[in-house]
Amino acid sequence: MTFRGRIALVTGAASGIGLLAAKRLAAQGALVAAVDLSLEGLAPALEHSPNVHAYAADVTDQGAVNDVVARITREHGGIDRLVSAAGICLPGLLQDQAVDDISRVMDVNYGGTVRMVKAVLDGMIERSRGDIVLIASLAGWVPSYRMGAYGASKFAVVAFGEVLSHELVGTGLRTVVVCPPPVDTPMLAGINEADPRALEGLPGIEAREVLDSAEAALERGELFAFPGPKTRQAVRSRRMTPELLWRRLSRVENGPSRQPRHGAPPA
Amino acid sequence: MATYEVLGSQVSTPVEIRDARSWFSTFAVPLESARDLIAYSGLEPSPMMGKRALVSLGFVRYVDGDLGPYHEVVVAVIVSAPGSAPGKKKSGETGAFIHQLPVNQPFTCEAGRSIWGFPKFVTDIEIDEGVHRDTGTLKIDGELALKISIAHGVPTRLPDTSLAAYSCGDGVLRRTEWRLDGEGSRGRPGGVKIELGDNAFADELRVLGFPRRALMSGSMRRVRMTFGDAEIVDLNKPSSPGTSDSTVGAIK
Repeated sequence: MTFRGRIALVTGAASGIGLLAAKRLAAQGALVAAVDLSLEGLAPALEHSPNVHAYAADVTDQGAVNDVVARITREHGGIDRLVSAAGICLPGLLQDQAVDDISRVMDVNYGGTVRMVKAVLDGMIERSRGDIVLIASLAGWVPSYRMGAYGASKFAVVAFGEVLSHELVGTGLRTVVVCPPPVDTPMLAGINEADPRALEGLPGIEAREVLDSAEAALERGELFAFPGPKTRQAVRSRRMTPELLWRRLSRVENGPSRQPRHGAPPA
Repeated sequence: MATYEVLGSQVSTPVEIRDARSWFSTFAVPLESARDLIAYSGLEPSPMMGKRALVSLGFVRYVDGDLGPYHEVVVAVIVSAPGSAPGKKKSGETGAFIHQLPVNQPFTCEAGRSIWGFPKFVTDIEIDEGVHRDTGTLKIDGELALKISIAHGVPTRLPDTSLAAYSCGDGVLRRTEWRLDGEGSRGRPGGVKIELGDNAFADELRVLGFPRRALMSGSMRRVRMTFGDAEIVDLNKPSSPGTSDSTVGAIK
């Protein structure tokens, strides 16, 4: 895929998957608009990379999102690739979490994705060209204890991306929804610190694997990318045997072995 | 070690590359044509199997490092270390002469030229990772110069290596200590498709008999490297044997 002279917008570019995505696109010769909350935070993305440009915007602010997309388009041109990687995770049991916290996770992860996609979509459709890369999560397929707020937001991203890709058939646009297991990033470190039981025992995969799988899925024309060794298997066990999965999860949580039944399994 | 000013920012040696992905291929070419190619450096290709010299073609995606993110294409000739008796393949007596080193970003270009005298220039380089093969495409002035397509080999283990990289920018021969280690090596015999364009860069390779079959090829999923300071090499001065501690394939 040639990216020389193309324009990419990466949200969450200050760290983790977003930062690596910005650097890789820059290596490929793209002009990268790196977006995050503050300009200071974007310093690592800019280092020795003259074709990365920093923009501060909060993805929960509709006005700020529209402004930043308008500015990038005015200064550099239409956006050829959106990588929506901005996200937060507040781990914890739903019964302990404040409504504001649960809503905030939804507003950043799902709302931020929706606002960014909507801000770039008309331009892409007009030019019949564009890639939309949404960083979702395995948590968008497999819910688990202490990841309720995060999982709900990623389920929303998965559904949004799936419907979007079907709506966009024939427009020339490509969509990929990337669903990684825990990834070795500052976010994972933060989750483990805030609630060590949330992702207990799951080592993070490398951010590069996540981006490799996204690239491969785009090339193959596949909607979902499931990086990591046992990711597809986890999705399958959630779909086929959800009660079994929850019994296993509840053991880690020291919960009762008797778990709610899920009703008739999906055919 | 030293600090250099490059395009308004500071770069300190040893320069570190924390994350890169690299692909390489090795070819045996006629010794005479390799000698003519690098005659300007004063170095001698290290003879192989009688009348052959080893040439390496590769491409690298630098992701995280002191020189920023960029792509690079390498054309190197394995040379005898200055002062060593040509023809004797004893460890400690070879190095890699970097003959061409196009990159696709200006910062690394300026740093490479000014700190080590590497023959970097900015042009268009694409790296395509496919299902069975990965391809590096070098374009100069918008026209194809060199396309290297490397098959995915089988997992191998490569030892950590340290080698002497030689360069000859502005007629000055320099030697740089280059350390490299990494994970996820793959390799196989052969496995390379070469396509040449219609320009001076490609013609140089034609003289060496390209496109030709590779001896071997491979890739490394995650590479870390360090580059030390360049030392100027004076070929007229007899070299002391103690200085050439770096070798191709030396195990740390």
